[in-house]
Parts: sequence; C-alpha cells; structure tokens
Amino acid sequence: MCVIYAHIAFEHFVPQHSHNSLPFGRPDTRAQANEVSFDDIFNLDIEIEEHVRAFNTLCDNIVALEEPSTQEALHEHFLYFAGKQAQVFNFATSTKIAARTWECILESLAVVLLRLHQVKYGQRRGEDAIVGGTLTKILIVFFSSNNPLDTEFLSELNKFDPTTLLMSFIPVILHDHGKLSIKWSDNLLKLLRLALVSAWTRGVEGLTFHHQSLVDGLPRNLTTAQKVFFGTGAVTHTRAICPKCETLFDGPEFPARCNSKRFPSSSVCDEPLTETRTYQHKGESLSRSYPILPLEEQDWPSWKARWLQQDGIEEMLEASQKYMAKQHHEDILRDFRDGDAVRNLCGPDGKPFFVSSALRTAWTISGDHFNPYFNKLAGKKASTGCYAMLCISLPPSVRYRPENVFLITALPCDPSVDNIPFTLGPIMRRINDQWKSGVWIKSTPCYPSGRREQSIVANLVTDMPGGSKLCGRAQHNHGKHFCAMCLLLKSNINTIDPSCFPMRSCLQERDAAMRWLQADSQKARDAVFQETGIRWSAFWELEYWDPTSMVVVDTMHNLWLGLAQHHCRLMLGIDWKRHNKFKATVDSEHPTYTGFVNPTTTELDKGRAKLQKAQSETQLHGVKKNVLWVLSYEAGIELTPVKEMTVPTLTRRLWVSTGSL
Amino acid sequence: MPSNEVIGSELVDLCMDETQQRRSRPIRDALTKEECRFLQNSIRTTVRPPSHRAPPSNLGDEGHGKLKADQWRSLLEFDVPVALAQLWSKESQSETVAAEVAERKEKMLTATMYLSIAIELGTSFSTSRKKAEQYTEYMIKYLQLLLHLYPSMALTANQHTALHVGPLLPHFGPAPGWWMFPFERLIGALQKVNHNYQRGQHSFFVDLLIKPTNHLPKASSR
Repeated sequence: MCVIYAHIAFEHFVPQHSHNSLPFGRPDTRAQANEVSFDDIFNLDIEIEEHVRAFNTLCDNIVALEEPSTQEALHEHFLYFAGKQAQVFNFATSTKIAARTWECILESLAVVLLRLHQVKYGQRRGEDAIVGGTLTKILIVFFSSNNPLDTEFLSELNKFDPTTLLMSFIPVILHDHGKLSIKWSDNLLKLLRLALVSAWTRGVEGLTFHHQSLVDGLPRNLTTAQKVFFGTGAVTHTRAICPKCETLFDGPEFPARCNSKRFPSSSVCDEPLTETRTYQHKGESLSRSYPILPLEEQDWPSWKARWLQQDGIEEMLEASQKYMAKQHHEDILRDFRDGDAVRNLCGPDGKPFFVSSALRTAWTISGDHFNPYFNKLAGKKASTGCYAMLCISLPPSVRYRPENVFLITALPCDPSVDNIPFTLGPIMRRINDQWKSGVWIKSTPCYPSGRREQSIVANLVTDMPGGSKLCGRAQHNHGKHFCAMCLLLKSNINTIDPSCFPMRSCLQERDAAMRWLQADSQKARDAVFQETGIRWSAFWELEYWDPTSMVVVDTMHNLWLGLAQHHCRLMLGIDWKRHNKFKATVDSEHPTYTGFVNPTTTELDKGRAKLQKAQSETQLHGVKKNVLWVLSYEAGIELTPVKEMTVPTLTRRLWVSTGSL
Repeated sequence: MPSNEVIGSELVDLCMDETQQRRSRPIRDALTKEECRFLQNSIRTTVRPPSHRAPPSNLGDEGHGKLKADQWRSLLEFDVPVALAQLWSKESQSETVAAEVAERKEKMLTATMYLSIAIELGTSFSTSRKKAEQYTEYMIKYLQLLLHLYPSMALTANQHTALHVGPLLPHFGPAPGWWMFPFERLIGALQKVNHNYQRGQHSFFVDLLIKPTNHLPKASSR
C-alpha cells in the first residue's frame, strides 16, 4: 500500500491513485480521487490514532527496543502510519482542504520529533539509529517515487543526521505544497535553527560540541534544504537566447553580444546576450556575467543513465524492443507499439531500428506553450514553452509516471515563426546525436559492465497551431495551405473525399524547407513561404525526420475540443450566451453566435440621438458595441457573426447606410 | 451567343455570392429554451460511473466557464445523443410540428449520432484497420449530412483535419497512445510549481525542470 501512496504524495505529474488501474492515464483522474469520502478520512484518522498508540507503547518499553523483532514492528507501524498520512494528504490536496492537510503533516512530524527528543536527550543514546532509520523511512515514503526501500536514496539520506533531515523537510514541504515563498522558507529555517540552539543551551548538558556541529551542518537556505532530498542527480546546462533574434547559444561561455547573422549579406544582430551582476561572498564583492535570457536544458544522456537504474525499467525496455522488432500480425491494435509506425523506423545503419544488440528506445515528443504566472496575469504576454518526451517503449501502465517523463526544457520565450528553427535547432541536433551514436552507459542493472543506448523520436504530438509552427508549415488561417496534413487548397475545403486530398511528400517538403533556409533575404524567405506554405523547421536536424509520417493530429484537441465543441455550440446552439441575451430588441430568429448584454433603453436612445446629430463618422466613436449592433439591426444592415463585426466595421457600416438615406 | 467574358463574370458573381453566404452561418436547428432545459435536466439526473466526468448541469447558461475536453467527451458520448433522441426522433416528435421541421430535426439527430460514433471509434482504446475505415466512413457521413443541411457552409480547418485521423490509427495504434492528455497534465503540474516570477532568473527554470523529475535515483553517468 505504501508503494502506491508513496508516489502520490509528492508527485507533481499525475494526480491519480494508481497508474495501473488507469492504463492510459485517461483524463478522469479527479473523479477517481474523489472516491475517498469524508467518512473514509474519519475512519483513517481512527486507524492512524491506533497505530500511533501502538507505536508509543512499543517505544515505551526501552529494554525490548534492542530486539530486532520490536524494531521491525516499529518500522512497520511507521510505514503504515506515514502511508496513511500520505493518503489523507493526497485527498486533501486534491480537494483543496489545506488546513486539514497541515494538521496531518504537522501531527506526524510532532510524533517523530517527540520520539527523537525522548530518545536522544532523555534516556538512552543507543536508540538513535532506530529513530534515525524510522525517520529516513518516512521521508522515503514521502519522497521516493516508486520504491519505499530504494537503497540508493536510503544511503543518500543516511548520510544526514535525523535532526538535519527534519529541519530540511519542514521548509521544503511548506514551500512545495503550502506555497510558502522562498524568502519566508529561508526565514523559517533561521527560526528553526534559533529554536534548536535555544532549546539545547537550556538543556542539562548545555550546547555541546556535538550540538554545535549539528547546528553548523543545518541548511541555511531553501535551495540547500532541497538538495538534501532531491536534485541530486539532475544535470542541466545553461544556454543563452538572444532576446532580439532568438538564436540559441550553447554554453558555458557566451559572447557578450549576439554574433548571429540570419543572412550572409545582413549585418550582425549585436544584441547584448549577457549582463554582469555583482554579489557579496564572504565579505568580498564579486561579479559574474549571466545570460539575459537563459534557457535551462536538461541533459538527456545523464537523465537516461539515472532513469535506467530504476527497478525493472531496463527489462521492460528490452522486452518491448524484441516485441517491436517483430511484425505485428494481429488485427487488433492495443498500443502504440502494435502500430506500423515503430516498425518503419530506421537505425543509423539503415536497418530496422529495433534490430540491434544495443538498447534501443522510441520516444514521442511534444511542445506546448503556457502562461507561467499562475494564470494571474491574463492578457499580459507571457509564455513559457514546455518541451517534453515520453518513452513509448515502456508499457502504458508505467509510461505516464512522473519519473518516466523527460522534460527537455522550459523555453523562456515564445519565438516567432521565423526564429523558432534557430532556437530549437541546437536542441534537436543533440537529440539527433542520441539516435546516431547514442550514449554509453557505464553500468545498467542488466549489464553491469555497461551498454550502449540509442533513442529515436517516433512522432511529434501537438495541437494544430503549435504543430504547424514547430514543423514550419503554414497555419490554419493561411490563405492557401490551411491543412497541416495535406496540400488541399482553402478554396476546396468542402471536399470531403479523403482519396481526393493531394498528399504531402517528404522530399518536396524538404526541398521547400531548404529553399527557405538558403534564401538570402527575409523577403525571399517570405516569398518561398507564400508559394509553398513551408518554412525551415528545427526538426529537419533529425536525420530520420519525415513529417508526413511522424506528425499526428491530436485527437483531444481535434475531436473533443474541436468537433464536439463546434457541433454542440454552433450546430445545436447550446451556447450559454444565446438564450438570455439580445432578445428584447431583436427577435430570436436572428442568428447570433456570441451575444452580449442588451443595451438599456436610455443607452439606445442616447445612441440614436448621437447618430442623428453626427456630422462625421468620428462622432460615432465611443458608442458601445451592443448599442451599435442594435442600431445596425434597426437600420437593416446584414449582421454577420459578432466575432467578425468589430466596432470599427459596425461604425463604418452604420455611418455609410444612414448617410445614404 | 454569350462570350467568354460573360461566363467569366457570372462565375465571379456566383463565387462572390457563395463567400457572402459562407460568412453568415445561421443556426436553424438550434435547441429551443425548453429543449435546453430538458438536456440540462437529463444531465442532472443521470447517474454515471465515477470515471465519467459530468458536464455542468447548467449547460448553456452563463457562469460554468469553459468546458474541459473530458466534459465535451461525456457530452457527445452520452448526454447529447440521449437527450436529442428523446426530443427529435420520429416517434417522439409531436404532430403539431410541421413535417418539414420535423424532418430537418431528425436529420440533425442523425448527424449528431454519426459524429458521436465517429469520435467513439477514433478515440477507442483498441483499434484495427476496420475500425479506422469505419471512423472515416462515419466522419464523411457526418460532414455530408452537415453540408446537406447547410449547403452554403464552409467547413472549418478542424473538420477537414478530422478526416486525416483515420489513416493514423493503423499507423500509430489507438489514439490514447498519441494524444495530448499526458502533456497537458505535465503543463498543469508545471503551472503549479512555485517560482519567483522572474522569468530571466536561473531558479525559475531549475524549479520547473528539476522538481518534477527529481524522484530518480542518483546514478553513475556515462
């Protein structure tokens, strides 16, 4: 049970109970989590209470504590206890009952602290190890994702004194789940340190040397505290993006100014890339240069090396490599690995990709942009790109677990369509290297003497606008080439026979992209784009890239958010603004897609008066859109959907029509 | 004898007319207020499995905000077809409704059914060549019927792109293997990560990047 709940508690990715019960990570996770009712929580509380009592009784018998059986019982109690707390915790976070959560967490901490205090400063020193061990196990239950007895993590944690662990745990958890700011978490650490020192100095022994060294070893800020639990292995590289031309520069040293040239004849960009900041370190004033717009890229090879160390991952990958090397004869397809796509992939030697002695894995890549400011700054232009990969060689039940998702980078800006190939280009080149030569991993669970691993990107999953942008194809509103999948012209959009669609060919697309890249001015590039609807794309850096067979239509956006929504709202008219609005003055027969609040009679009268008096069109400015709409309706102007009727259009039409009367 | 010029200008006029018509797309088959209430009531009274996320029961009124993809799924997989079948099928329509209107409404119901079937086939957890063909078949039927009901309507880019989903099914396997849900959820998680609002600063990205993936054990690298 602990195993299941362990990775829920501190999981950032998938807020659901068990990945195994929902193989594809269907979107209905909220409903599943809600199956825990308040009654259950109440019963849990009673259970936890009983365990705490049993635990306390065990601990009180100090003589028996030396026995291994008692120690085991203690551990079991604690694991159970912590697991249950995690369950309560998870329930509380999923339904946002923050106060209850904190009660639980702090309660559990209080129990641990009490034990720690009793054992350490009360009776016997010999029990140090037990409490330390129990505490580490609780922390493992909280922090370790898939295996509560993860030996690597255990040995990592054992390096620390239990006091240090606890003191780090409190600010980290408050920061992660209680939204305590970094500044206040730092202050909290300082206060905790003060509390410890004052408690010890008042004790019988006073502040001993041992205590003093413990205090010195306590983390001084949140970042150090976080390092106790995680961030131990992740390797990231800082790159710099030019704020003007959005070209990516690989580190570690950056030129002071951007030296990129878009075209041979154009001048150098010359935008400042770095800025110098001074800071105080041990009384000295030091300065260092930082990129103005930094990009943190996670190192894929080292991530893969860590990822393969997990229990069972390598075996699963080997099994599916063997499976994908063979043809799929069954008629029914149950997973990505059954499809033709993975079987058509080629290795660097030209043979089928999965026929090899090296470990070979297939990945799916996705990129999407979001607003990083907690949706608080709506409307303000802020966009962070999230580029991530999933390993489709894994079975679906483990594929979507947080530890198996590789986040390549969080792009700090939203590059324009002309610049994005140069921003993502270097990243894609590194991904291509993973296919071409792969990575030599020193030691894996199955091959202690090391083995080679190679990865291929099997497909790109994005929504339609994002996909077009990443692939360098024209957007859906392009005058000619509106479709990312075929070459059908916009004028023939009502053709619904798929056999009549002129399909794209990889070679043609590559040629057009090359023409765009080799054009010697922005004008020439625009001309190529207008003609072919193709720009250069960073994905061409992948030598095996074939946009015609690797780009998919996302069914979530296309079918559910697209067709289903369109049908319900526009075809069936289930639109929440239609019934209540715009009925008093205009009969309901009149078509309107998105209505608005009806103008009041006084507003209308004022508008009418203004229109009669108006000598020129500019005098109509300031009249509200809804008033304009009704006036236009009264004037007999044909009204098209509101979206297309902007205020200037309405004003112009109204002016022209009344002027001609 | 009309000269070539005349034919040309006629064609231009015809095209102009068509584009004019395309701009305004009237909803002639819209649900009436009573029918909307019926749909809302049926959403409210439906007992569904916990894995099915219910659409808002005040659907169509103000204030329920944007629907999630999952809610559109529930709506079109179950609620709308069931409610419409009770309202618009031949048997249930009252005789007071004009025959023309009744026929039109029934056609719209059929279109809804086609779309529902197509989406079900397209997003099924297991697929096959036959299912993929059926998907395309029903999607074409749906679009044909829409164009029959609204001859002047221009299809949207989404409606066109939906026709490309069919061939992807045998190629990539069932849609859940390559839809956006896992990535959207990743974004949801990233949006919740605490950070210092300073996009230019190092810690912002380290927060975003490392925290979610920090569960991995430490290992000897290359």
